[in-house]
Amino acid sequence: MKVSLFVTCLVDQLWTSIGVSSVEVLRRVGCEIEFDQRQTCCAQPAFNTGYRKEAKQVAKRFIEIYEESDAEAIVSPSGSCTAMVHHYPELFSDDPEWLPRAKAIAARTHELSSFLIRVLKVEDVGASWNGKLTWHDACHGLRDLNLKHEPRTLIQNVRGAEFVELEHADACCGFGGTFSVKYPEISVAILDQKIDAIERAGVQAVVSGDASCLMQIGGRLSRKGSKVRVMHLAELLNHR
Amino acid sequence: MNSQLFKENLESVEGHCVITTDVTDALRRIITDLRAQRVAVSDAPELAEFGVVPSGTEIFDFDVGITNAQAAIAETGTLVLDSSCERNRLVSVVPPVHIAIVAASRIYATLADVLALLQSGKEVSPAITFITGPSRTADIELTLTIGVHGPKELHVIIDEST
Amino acid sequence: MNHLSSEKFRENAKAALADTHLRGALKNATSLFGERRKQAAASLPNWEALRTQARAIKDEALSHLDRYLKEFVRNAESRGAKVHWARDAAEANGIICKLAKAHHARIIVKSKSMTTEETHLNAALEAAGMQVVETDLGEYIIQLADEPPSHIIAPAIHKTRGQIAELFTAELGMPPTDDIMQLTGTARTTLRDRFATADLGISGVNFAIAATGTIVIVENEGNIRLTTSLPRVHVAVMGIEKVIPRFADLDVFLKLLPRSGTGQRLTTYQSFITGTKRHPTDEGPEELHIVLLDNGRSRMLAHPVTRQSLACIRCGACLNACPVYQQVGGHAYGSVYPGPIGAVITPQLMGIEKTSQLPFASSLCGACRDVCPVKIDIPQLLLHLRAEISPRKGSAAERLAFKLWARVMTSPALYKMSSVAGRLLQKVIPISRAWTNGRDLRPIESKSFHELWENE
Repeated sequence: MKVSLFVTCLVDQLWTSIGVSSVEVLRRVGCEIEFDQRQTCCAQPAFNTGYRKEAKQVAKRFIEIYEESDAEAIVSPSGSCTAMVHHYPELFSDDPEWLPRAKAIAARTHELSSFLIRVLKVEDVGASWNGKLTWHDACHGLRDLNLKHEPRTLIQNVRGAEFVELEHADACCGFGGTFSVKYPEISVAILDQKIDAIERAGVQAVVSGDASCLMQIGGRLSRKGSKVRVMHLAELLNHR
Repeated sequence: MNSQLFKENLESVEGHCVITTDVTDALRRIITDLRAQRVAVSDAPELAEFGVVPSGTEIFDFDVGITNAQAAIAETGTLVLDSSCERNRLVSVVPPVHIAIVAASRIYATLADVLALLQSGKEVSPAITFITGPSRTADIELTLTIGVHGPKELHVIIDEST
Repeated sequence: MNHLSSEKFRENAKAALADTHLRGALKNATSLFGERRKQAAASLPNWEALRTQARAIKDEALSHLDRYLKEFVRNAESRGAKVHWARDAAEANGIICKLAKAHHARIIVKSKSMTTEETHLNAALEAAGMQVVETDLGEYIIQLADEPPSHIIAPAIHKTRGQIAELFTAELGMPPTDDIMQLTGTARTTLRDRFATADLGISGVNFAIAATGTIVIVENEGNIRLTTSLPRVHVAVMGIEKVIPRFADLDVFLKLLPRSGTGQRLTTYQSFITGTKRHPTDEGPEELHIVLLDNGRSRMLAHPVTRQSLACIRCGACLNACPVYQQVGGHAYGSVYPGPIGAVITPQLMGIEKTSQLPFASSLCGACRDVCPVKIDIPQLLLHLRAEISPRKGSAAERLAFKLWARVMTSPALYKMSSVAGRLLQKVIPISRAWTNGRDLRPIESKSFHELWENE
């Protein structure tokens, strides 16, 4: 199957190994990867902060780029970015020209674990990783994309990995986009509940499907001198 | 069957329930066990021998209030009092103990059944009250405390005699 | 009263975060409430169907609110109730003060009503020389403490038993104790005297049934029953959105509200009041006055997106589920309606001038939407409000930043340049302290994924 990768601006600039791992994993399960160099952002920052005019400009660019692709699926290693693309129809709800185009693109866009499990029906990508780990349910992936057992199924097939369910795995990490810097004290107070749960779980690593959550959680863990590392699902699945 | 379910549900919220064919006996036992000094009753004729129908604010001077319930709901352990049928509005809420008598045949399975019943007549009664157990609060540290403004104890006698 | 202001949400929140007593109280309360709600919802296999049904009933009511309101008023009046329409808070308070004066009400007992908190009724009555006593235990506590409520259903949730004990000792002369049963007993004894002598009782309304003119009020303590049956006059205050079409609709709401609010199958008492008594010698008030409050609701109704916020049945579940509320509590919001639903309705009721921070005080996690019994899409509403506020009230720097952002994100060349620029600048420009005060920040990659792919 031909897949067009939407790597996301965050991964592109701050965490390229997530992109690299995503490509390698998808290739390993038989996909041909296309990467359109014109891609930038899904428009989430503007949409979430209330700048819909600017969000539409960037969303239109996304739609235009991917309309030209003949890939069967657009795949992204981010639940929140995928959810944003799924919101494009709402963004263009009163635009008769762009609404059908938004719907078409949204229908073709998948988050990585969702693509593996629901579309490719692959549960085991041949990964291995030794140690104890846990999963943080990123909010958009969980609530907008209904990703609950998909990542867990993939993780449980990683040889050597001992999976522990995190207490309140579905509690927000406190990132929330610009919320993390508009209300940093509240963001960190929420984050510390997650950190406490991670410490109580006694794991070596926390895995999640969104780089933004990983930045938030990882940033606090390293500030506190913790040995627990953060890993994106793609990185885990690419580990051998 | 409704009686049994009602009893279980009422007891799960700290209410007391006895199923009997001898209401008078059950009532006497409860009043004795409570060592009740002043007993208030509704204007139901069969209750007259057990206490006084209070007037004005003397309702505050009674230890126990006895009324009928016009119906009940099994799925929640709820009593239904219609104060257009009986002078039961204050007697059932002011004294610290409330004893209610309900006929087994008037216990309905569900809330929906009773809601249908309440508007089946010409017009809805002016004041209907649902009662599920004794009064309570969790306003202080979310700790459950039984007995606030309404009764601290609720005793229900299910009359299976008819 | 020490009302914190919505305008100072950021400062209020910071102060709340530094208050260890408050944080402890909030953690216990919200997790207990959350657990109980979860179990109560799980006990009903058709929970999701009930939520859908409830929302459908509310949508129906709100789509034809004028018709259902008129029907409610017609039926209530035909049964002896007097209905008063109040455009805004001042008008509502004026109506009630006038009624109280006309009936020479010296002592007024009141049961918990968020709507009367919204209008600041107590302050108006006191200014008019009346004595008004809150009878709900939580409301009584905050009345003594001269504070606003911090939670929609448990107004004193922010107070520890020790704080309440100190309050009762200071205000009521209670011998020192922090035994909860004794605290409750003290309140009961003190308030009984008020019930016995009150001239007028004021309550809220949970549901108003159009088809019969019935008002329905739910409680656990018994103070609503006493407030609405002992005094000669009963005044019931309700927002216009409380109307539902049929008596049978109550089945759905009575299943959802107690479970969502406190995790109970049913609250201890429900009072169904339809007009006034049939005979003068019957028990109950001689007069029933129903005050219908607008105060911005019909304006909210007119908007197709935000209209759904009027479906709220004031259960408080969203507060307990919200990671922000869990950390800062209700007072920080500066509104009687805090938490997620508060962040949505407060700007609409009070205008965005002073409340513009509230819709941004959220990580948009969606936990609130999951627990709302009437399926209000609170994140959607927050995003909608943000889209109203930012273009008008966003700082000049922020508006410019997003304009530039859009330029960069729609031009591959500019995007590439900006990533190069970012790499250079991060060495000389201090990274936003808002992030780095509490968290480390990953440096920008020396090669972007775009560049890595080019060299594949």
